Order: sequence, then C-alpha cells, then structure tokens
Amino acid sequence: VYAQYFVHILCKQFATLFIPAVSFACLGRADNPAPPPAHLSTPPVEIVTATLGKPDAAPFTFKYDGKDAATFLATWKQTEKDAVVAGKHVHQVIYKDPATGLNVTVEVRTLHDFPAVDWVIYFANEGTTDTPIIEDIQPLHATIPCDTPDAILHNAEGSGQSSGDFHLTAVPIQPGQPLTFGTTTGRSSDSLQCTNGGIGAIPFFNIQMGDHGLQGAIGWTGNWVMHINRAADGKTLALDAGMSKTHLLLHPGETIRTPRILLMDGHGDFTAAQNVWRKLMLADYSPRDLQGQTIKVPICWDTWGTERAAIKLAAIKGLNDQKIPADAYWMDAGWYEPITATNGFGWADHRGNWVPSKDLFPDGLRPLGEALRQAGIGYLVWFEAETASPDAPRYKEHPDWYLKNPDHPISDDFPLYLNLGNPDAYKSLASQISQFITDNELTWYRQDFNFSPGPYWAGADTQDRVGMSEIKSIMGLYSYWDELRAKHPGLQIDNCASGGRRLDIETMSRSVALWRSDCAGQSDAEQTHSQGLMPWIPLTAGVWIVTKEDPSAQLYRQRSAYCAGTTVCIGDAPAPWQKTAFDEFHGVQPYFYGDFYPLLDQNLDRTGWCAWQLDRPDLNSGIVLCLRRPGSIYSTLQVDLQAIDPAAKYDVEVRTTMAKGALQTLSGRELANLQVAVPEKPGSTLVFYHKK
Amino acid sequence: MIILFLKRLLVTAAIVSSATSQGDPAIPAPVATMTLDTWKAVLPFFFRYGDKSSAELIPTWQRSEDVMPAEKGEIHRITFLDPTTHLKVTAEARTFTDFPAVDWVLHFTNEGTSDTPILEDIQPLHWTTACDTPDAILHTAQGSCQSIADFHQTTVPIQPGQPFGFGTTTGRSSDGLRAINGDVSSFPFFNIQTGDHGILGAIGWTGNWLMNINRASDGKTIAFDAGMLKTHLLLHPGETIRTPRILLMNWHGDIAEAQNTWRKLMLSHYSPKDLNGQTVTEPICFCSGGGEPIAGKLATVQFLHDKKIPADLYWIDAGWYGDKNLDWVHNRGSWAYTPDFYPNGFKPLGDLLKSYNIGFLVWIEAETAMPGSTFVTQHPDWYIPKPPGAGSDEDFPESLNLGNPDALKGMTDFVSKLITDSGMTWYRQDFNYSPATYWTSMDKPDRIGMTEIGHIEGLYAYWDALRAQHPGLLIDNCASGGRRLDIETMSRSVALHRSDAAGIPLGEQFHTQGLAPWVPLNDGIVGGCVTDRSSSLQLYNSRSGYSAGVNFSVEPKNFSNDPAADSIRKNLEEFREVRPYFYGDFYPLMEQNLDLSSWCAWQLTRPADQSGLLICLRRPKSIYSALQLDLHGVDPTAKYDVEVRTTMDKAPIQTVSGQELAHFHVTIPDMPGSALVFYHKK
Repeated sequence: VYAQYFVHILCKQFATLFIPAVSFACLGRADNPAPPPAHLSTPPVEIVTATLGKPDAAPFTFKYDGKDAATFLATWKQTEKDAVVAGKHVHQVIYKDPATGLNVTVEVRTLHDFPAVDWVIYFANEGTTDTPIIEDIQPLHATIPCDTPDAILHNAEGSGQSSGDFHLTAVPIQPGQPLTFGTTTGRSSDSLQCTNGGIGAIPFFNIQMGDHGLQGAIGWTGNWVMHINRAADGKTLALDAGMSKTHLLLHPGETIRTPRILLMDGHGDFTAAQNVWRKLMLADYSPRDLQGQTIKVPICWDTWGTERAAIKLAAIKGLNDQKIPADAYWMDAGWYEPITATNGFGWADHRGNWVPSKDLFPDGLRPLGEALRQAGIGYLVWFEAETASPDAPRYKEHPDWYLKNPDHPISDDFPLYLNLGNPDAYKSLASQISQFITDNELTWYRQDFNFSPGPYWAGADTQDRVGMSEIKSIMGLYSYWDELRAKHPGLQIDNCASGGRRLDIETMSRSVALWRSDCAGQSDAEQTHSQGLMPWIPLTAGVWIVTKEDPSAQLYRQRSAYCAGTTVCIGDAPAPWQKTAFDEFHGVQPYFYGDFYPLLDQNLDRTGWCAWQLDRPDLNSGIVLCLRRPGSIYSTLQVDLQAIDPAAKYDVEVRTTMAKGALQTLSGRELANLQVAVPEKPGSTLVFYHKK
Repeated sequence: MIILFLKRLLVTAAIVSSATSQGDPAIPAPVATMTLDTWKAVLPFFFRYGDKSSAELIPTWQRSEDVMPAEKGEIHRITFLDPTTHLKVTAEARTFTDFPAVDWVLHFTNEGTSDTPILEDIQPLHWTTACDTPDAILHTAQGSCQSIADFHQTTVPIQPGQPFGFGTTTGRSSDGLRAINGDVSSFPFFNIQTGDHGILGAIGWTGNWLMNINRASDGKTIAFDAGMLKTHLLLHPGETIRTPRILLMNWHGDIAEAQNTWRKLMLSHYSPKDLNGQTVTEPICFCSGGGEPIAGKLATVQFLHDKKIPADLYWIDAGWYGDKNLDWVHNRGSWAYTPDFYPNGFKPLGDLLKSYNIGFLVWIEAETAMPGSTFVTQHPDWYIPKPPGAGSDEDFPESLNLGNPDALKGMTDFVSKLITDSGMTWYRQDFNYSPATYWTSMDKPDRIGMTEIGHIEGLYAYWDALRAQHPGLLIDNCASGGRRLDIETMSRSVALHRSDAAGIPLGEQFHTQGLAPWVPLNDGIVGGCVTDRSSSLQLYNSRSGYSAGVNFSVEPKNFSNDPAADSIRKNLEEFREVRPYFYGDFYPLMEQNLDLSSWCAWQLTRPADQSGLLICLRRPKSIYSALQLDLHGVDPTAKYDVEVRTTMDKAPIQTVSGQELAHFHVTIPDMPGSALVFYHKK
C-alpha cells in the first residue's frame, strides 16, 4: 500500500633499483602492539592466563573418577617450574594426585611479542595400577567478559574439494544461543560431514566484540569440537574446546596429551586483528629454514610420479640450462612398485609399497636427487605414509600394526591405516622414510592422507579407552614429523590431506601446505582459497595449471595462483618464457609475508574481480593484485588502499602484461585511491609501490 | 592430495571421444510449437465430467466452429455440446497476425434444465510437447511480498522423471507469500527454453493458479498442466463459468530477443490503450496521501503548474474517506469524503487538474471493508465475512463478493459516480489481504471453486464496465504492491506501485529488471521525497527508479521554492527523454543481483529510430569505476552520435564508431553514481 511510500530514501620500471633485496624474515613481531581498548579493563588473555595456576578456577577441565577437576584439583600437590621443551621455554604447572599417582602437567608458553598464550596438558599415570576413568577433557574451559551488544564468531569453511573451500564465515553470537562447531571425520580442517550451522570448520577462530576480541586456535590434527555459550544477559562468553570425546583410563607409565590451545587478544576490525595473527603464525607457528628464518614457501615444478626417469632428468636439465628459478621439483604419487608407465593410475592401489618402480626408475630416485642438488633445486617426493593397500610389504609382515575401517572392506577409499600409536609400527615407518630421504637426497617430504580416520579410531577403542586410538595416532604423527626434521636438518614437510584437511597450528608449526585444496588450479577457486586462508594461515601455495590460452588469460591464471608459494603444473618441457613468469612470482612473493588487505569481499562471482593489497610496512612497499574474472564487464577498479602515507611520494609500477611497466611517481593521496584498469577479460594487473 | 586434474583431463578426453565416435546423439525431433492447427488437433485442455475425462467425452460431443475477427488476428470459437446433459464447452482461441502466439479461454455453460454432474480438475492447459534437447530450462520469476527481492528471476532445470509444480495459494495471482514452490515461481509468466527455441507463456487468472511440469523419464517429452488450484463443481441450469486464460508464444533463436518479442506482444495486445488507440504512456505521478485538507493539495497543483513540473497526474492515496480520527485502514468501507478534508468532495481538485491537463488518480480498496463501516452496514449481503480462525480485522476485513450481481452492480455504480463527480482520470484499486480463505469458506462440497470463479469474473466485469462507462479512464492495479500481475489484469491496467518495498534504490533496480522481461508497464519510484537531486547520490537514487513511468512525492513545504522545483523539473525532464526507451527492447547487461558492491546496467533500444540508451548505476559500495559493455544491435560499420551523461546536465554529443560503441566503456567517477548514455545512428 502506498502509505509505506512516504519514507525518505536513505536513502616501469619498477625497477630493481627500488625493489629492495627483500628478506624472507617475516615481519616477525608485532611492531607496535596496540594497547587494549580503554573500556576493557582486563583483556581476555590476561584473564585466562591468570587462572592457569589456579586449581579451583583453571581454564581447562576434566572429570576424574566422575568428579569435576575444580572440586579436587586444589587437594592435589601443585608445583610449578620453568623448562625448555623442544627448544622452547615453557612454564609448567604440575598437579599430582597423591592417591592414584595421576600427574597433570599444564605446559604454558607465553608469546612475549604478542598478547598471546598457548598451552597443552599432559596426563601421566605415575602410579602402579590403572587410573580411574579420565573423561570430558576440555583443555579450554574459560569464561571471558563480553562488553558489547554484538559479538561475532569469525571462522572459515574447511576443505572439501570445492571452489568454496575456506569460505570465510561470520555468525552472530547471541545470548542464550550456544554455538558448537568442529570436525567429525578425524581430519582437523575437513569440511566433510561437518554440519556446523553456517560456522566453518577450520580450527581457528576470532570472536570479535566491537573493536577488540579474542583470537584463537585449537592444535589437534584429529577431531575437535568447540562450544561458545553466551550468557542470557549477554555479558559473558563461556568457551570450551577439546577432542570430541574422551573417556579413558591410563595404564601405569602411560602419558597422553591434549589438543593445544592458543589464545590472543585481538584489536581493531577483522582485517587488522588478522594481520597481527598472521605475524604470530609466521613468528611462532611456522617451520624455519637452516638459517632460523621463517621458511620461504617454494615455487614448485609439479609432475606426476609415473613419468619415466629420462623425461624427468631432461626436465631438470632444462630448468637448470634455462635458469628457470624453480625452488623445488615435485614428484607426486605413482612412482612406486609395481606401477609402470603404462599403468599410471594405480597410485591408490599400491600405497605403502615405498620402493621406486623399476620400470619408471631403473636406477631408483637418487639420480634425480643428485641432478637437483647440482642444479640447486629442491626435491619433493610424495608419500601417503599412514596409508597402505593390502599388497604393502609392511602390512604383509605386520598386519597387527594396521587399523581397518570397521564398516567397510579394504578399498581405495577405506585403506589400511598404519597405527603410529604402536611404537614398533612407528619405528618401522620412521626408519624407512628417514633412510629414503637420505638415500635420495630429498629436501621436501610431502605427506598426503586421503581417507577419514575417525571410524578407524572408534573401531579400535575399547569401552574404557575411548579416545586413546586417536590420541596415540596424533601424538605419533607429531613425533614422526619431529623425528624426520631432527634427523634431516633443513628438511621441509608439505602437509596434504586430500588438499588442506589437516591445517591446524600443530601441523602448520611443522609444515606448509603446497596443495591446499583438491579443487586446485581453477582460477576463481584459487583466489577464494587464498583469500580465505591468508587471514589464518599465511604459508600455503596456490596452484597454477598451465594451459594453452591467450597471453592475458594465461597471465590471469598464473597470477590467480600467487600466494606465499606457487605450485606449477606444466605438461610441457621447460621453456624460456617460464623464467620470466617464475621471476615475477619471486618479485611478489615477499609481500605475501606482510599485511593482507582484501579490497573486495571473498566471492565466487565470475562477473566480479578479486583484488588484494599486500603491504610490507617494514620495507615501505607493497603490491596490489587485481584479477578481472572471465565474465566481468568491469574494466576499472578504484581501490582504497591501506597503510599509505598521504603526504609521501611513491614510486609506482602498473604491470598488466608480463613486461615491466613504466615507473611513475604518485603522491600518497593519489596512490591511496588509485584507479586500476584491467583491459582484458580475463585479465590481471599488478601494482608495485614503494615509498620514496 | 594428488594431482586429480590429470585424471579429470583424461576422463574429459574419454567423454569427448565417445561422443564423437558415436555421432551426434541429439537428432532433432520436431520442434514443439503451438499453432492454431496444433490447437485444433490436440485440444490442449482437460477436465473430468461425471466419471469420464474430456479426452473420452469430447470426441462424442457435437462440435461446431465459427470465426470472428479480432485486432490483428482472429478468434476461433469452437463449441462442444454434450447431447445428454447439455453441458456446452466453448473454447475461444485467438490468433495474432503479428506474433507467433495463441491465446485461449474456455467457458462452460449448463444449457440443460437440471444441475450438471460434477465438473472437476479443469485444466485449461493440458499439453504434451516434444523436447528435442538434453537441457530444458524453466525461466520465470518470484512474485511480490514486500521485499527488495520481489520479481527475482529464477531458472530451474526441467529434469527427466522429476515433475514439479508451482503457483499461488493466497488468492492473489503474483503473491510471493505462501506460494507453492515459491523458490521456483509465484508469477504467472514462464519461458520454457529447449536449446535455441522454446515457448513463452502466461496464465491469465487473478486468483490462485497452479502449473505442473512433467518431463518424461526418457527426456523426450514435457507435459504441461495449468489451471485453478481446485475445481469440483456442478452447474445450475443457465449458469456459465470461465477458466484461466492461457497464452503461449513460440520462439526460435536468441532468448533475449524472445523476451523482447514477448514485451512487444504484451505492449501490443495485453496493455490498456488510450483514447487514440495507442498503448498507454505510463505517467509521471505526483503522489500524496489522502488524509489531508484539499487546500494544500490545490496549492501543490498550482505550484506544479506554475513551475512547469512535468507531472502527468496527481495522486491521492488512501485516507481521504471516513472518520478523520481513524486511520486509512480502519476507515475502509466508509467510502465518503472526510468532510474536514474535502468539504466539497474532490471536484475542485478535479476541475483544477483538468484545466491544467494533469491527470487525477484516486485510491480505493473497493473489494475491502471493515466490519461496521458504512458499506458493510448498508449492504451486509455484498460481503463475505472473515473466515473462522482468521486473524485481525485489519488483516482479514470483510471481502466484497463480486460474484454477487448486486454487489457487482452496487460497487460499479458507486465508483462510476465517484469518477464522474470527481473528474478522476485514473482509478487506483488496491487490495491488501489474501482472499483465498474467504472463497473456500463459501464453497459447498459440490461447488468447490465457484466463489473464486464468481469473484474473478466479477472483478473483470467491474473493471470493464468502468472503462466502458468512462472512455479514457485508466486503471492502476495494486494489491499490496504487485501481487495481482497477470495478463488479465495487465490487459486492463498498469502497475504504478509494483512493490510495497518501494523507494529503495537497490530494490527499484531489482524490480525493474525482474519485471521488464514479462510485464513492461510498471512505475518505479524516482527520487522519493528529495528536493535537491543534483548530487551524484541523489541522481543515482532517482535514476534507479526509472521504468516505463515514475512516481515522486515531495512535502509541499519543502517543495515551494524555486531551487527545489528546478531540481525536480530537471530530473523529470530527463526522465521524459528516457521514457520512450522503456517501450523498446530491454537488455539487462548484468544479471539481476542485490550486491551493493556491484553495478546495475541495462540497454534499452528503439530499433525503429535506430537509437538506444544505456542506464548504468554504480552502487554505494562498488569500488568498480568503469565497465565495458557488449551492446546489442549496434552496426559496427556505422557512426553514432553519443552522449554520456553523468550529471543532471546534458553532455556534449560525440561521434563514435559502431565498432567502439559495440564494446563501450562507461566510467562513473562517483560511488554511488550513475551514467546515462544516449546513442543514435547517424
């Protein structure tokens, strides 16, 4: 009806002369951590940290022999000490039950350069008999104040072989309406069988409360669940997180650990807070190189494992001769017995048979390692170490080392699962792979994991040991990776699980993700995946599948895959144009270690663009990457750049082709609102800027 | 994991090779088209009578046929008479010389001397057609439910072995509320696309309707059924009823061109005409509320005239009637001027408007009355009371039963006299409730559907009578916005207030783009109540409302100064330049969307004078500042005069080659902002 009508309507050369020799030392530390907002008297992390040593109000909980920890922990013997664990300084709060000998050690790490704290809890039976039942272990069990009407949970979808993988989510946290989210398949960032009501499934979160908040992560590579319960009056948030289910006794001498909890006070809007989080991840939760610097994610030359050695050696020679700056040469699945060049797709049927195919590699894999070492190129080989098919030699000798899916016969989708909780199985694998790395001069160990282990664990647990199979497998996984890295200084690990389904702070502290989604190489998906991951996990690689398209489309595809690293799948032999392409990537790569500002919301709209700013305040420089999608009729974007000094002058290069553009000088004011044109559809433009 | 793409490449290669080795599997079957010959051969309707279907009965009945001329076509009247019960079925099938379309309606008459057996499951559309492509797609739209997303275009695959239906349930023909399968459609217009051809269609019925689509499991045929939701009724001696009207138009080629042909069909044959026999020009309306003294209105009209504001009509909305202490809702049914506001009725206003050649529109919700209102008190037998269990009186008032001859005549006489007395040139009829439950409450078990049929037939008779008695009178069809948009109403009216979510620029853009392919004649809201329209924001707001016509409104106190008048006049003069293009072809250049970070862009062309217009709207959060548009119908070898207008002022004409114009770059510097690009072939 018309009555509603009476409403007012709301209505260059960007030359090497100014591209500094950029260091990969990440920004490393929060340069100027913002003070907490004045209206928030005590930041959440301080509140939580203060209770870590308080047995009656600890920020964790469990039940022991049916009783809540808060009711008895104060009666246990409590000691505290500082220690160095795995090269890191920690503070340990130790509770010991005088009656049963159960030792509960809370190992706390304060991250001095960030307003953050991290802890993990160990349970050790130091008695002589089985313990009573330990259950409902929640390494996070804390209540924090909520001083704003609107609280928002930010998260992202996990990986599920979709262009929508890592889709950012934001849901309101309403009074009296508890939220629960987590994973169920046994992989820590798997979106499969995950029904979280619009909340994502990566084990990272940001609870935004106005201009501040609480960021966090759950470090556990199996199943986890988190609950957020805002009080009916809206004034507090109760947080619980841990494994999905624990109900277990410990045998004498047995020790288990919990998921790791990491919390950091957030300041500013989501983007600002996540840029501090990125620094934290780069500084404290990323692997280091031999110089102690945060690792440089490689640009890889990705090949399938079933090519003959001669072809691979020729490609390596081509890379070397033409000086194509690939950081690593990648051999994917299929390189092992009994696969042949004419039977290249049996890769899944022969997992666990980690002996090079004689048909493909008559001299083994070492000649490739030697050639790559001489060429100065890294060497990555794929394994699915935890998985085996029935023809795997280890299974034939030790069938008891493997778990089976209780609901399905053995098949590619439900293979055998090596129980890394079994010390003998663990030793056998670790020793074999370590020897393989030495023998073949591997510099990168790629570990894939293509099934859901959740049911295997559940099937192997007994009634009084619910959760134990998962705990031991996960502890074994961490020990296995730590052992390989310790034995092979400089070795790096590529963490894959049907794409990025095991992305958490425990894995990412030890590895990077070079194949972050099985929906790989599709340009708009690559853009979405980067934009969804970068706020949480800086070190991943995009995937560039080289196809024969017109130059603009080709360059669009290439630049869509730019992230901290790039995985390049080229069917053809090395060619001179690839040097220019790889060089361009090396030129932009340092910026992916800086602050990340999305200029458009994450979207899969083929009529839209994708546009990001990556800024290195420490270098007074940055880039803007604009990607015009194939269906986009938009030809120019008016960007609103961050961290630009309006009073300063900038050298600016606008590059729409592979050739460098002319260098121009712009005022900061002009740069901040630069009009970026992309004439082709699809097309791309890179803008480099550097403060004079 | 693993490099699955390699696997995919191999699989794709395998598919391609098998397809080529086996040859083209899609051997074209005969393309389905509806022609008069097809119609006569297959008789694409259905009903059940007694215990038999029409397919069994009709061949045994007496068939006769005659032909009558119609405007640019013929009406073939085909009659079937049951020799036993004397039920006569009359089908009127209309053809067109200028469109590949057929339109039909059925009438059922009891020519016997006793009640007929039960007549039921009447489907005026019942047709199975060949489907010669793997992919069949239903294009349609959602109806109106006071949302900025009203008239959202929908596209649904028609899959083998997966029948589905869609329609309305509230008793209003394009009501998005409680629709059957509302995600598919609640809008009685459709386009079934089978590759590069298809059938466009409409169901003409202003009550409830249901359409079912059933593609055979082998994919090779599609069966359509459409009609009222339920019919199960007997007819008394001498009684006649009609069915929903069915209109089908065949198309081949480009689907955008097909929708434009449909627009032409709507404009030519399903739109009201003016006194010169031309399709009505949608007006520029100055809107005002009814519950205000006439003195202010007379002053406003004088100001409109003095300042040469190009308003085509002055609009009095709800509230002009009844007790001044009650609001417009509670006074419905007390259809007498509020004496304090209109001591001498509307005549002084009508006379003034007539002298200035400005139209005069008055709102009335004729089918509605509150309990206790004067009409209900005086004529209780005209109204159907609130059904048991219904909600408040405001939402469920008394419902005028236009199936009652006394009520029909009484309301026709009353409104006709109001028109004569006031000098109204536009009759605005609103309808703010769901009538379906009133109708079902009145139906007896052996007369299911009769109350609805009686009311809808009465509604058409009512409007036809008013138009016959007042040549040149135009009707504005409103039902809580655009909830009664169908070919029967749109043949008799236009929609000046197409959605109750009105005046929101994003919604205005969305509604125009959603309606333009189906229903050309509707008004947007231009500039709302804003006076200074020169800023990029206000110009964006105004241009967002451009449609075949526009509505605006300004508080008189804000209006009575020269700068305000100048700004509004300039804005409306611009709209007058734009308006003719809304009677041409419409090409959306971007998909309909509600994304504030996007743009909205349309091309409107007038092939007859080789000119066109681009309307580009950069939304408030769009950081895109330029786009490149691929235009339709531009001659690459020709030269064009082009004006790119981003402010309210005209811009210089430049000469642009057809090649350049065909892929034209449009830049809008402001956010939000807008650009009009006029072009004309030299």
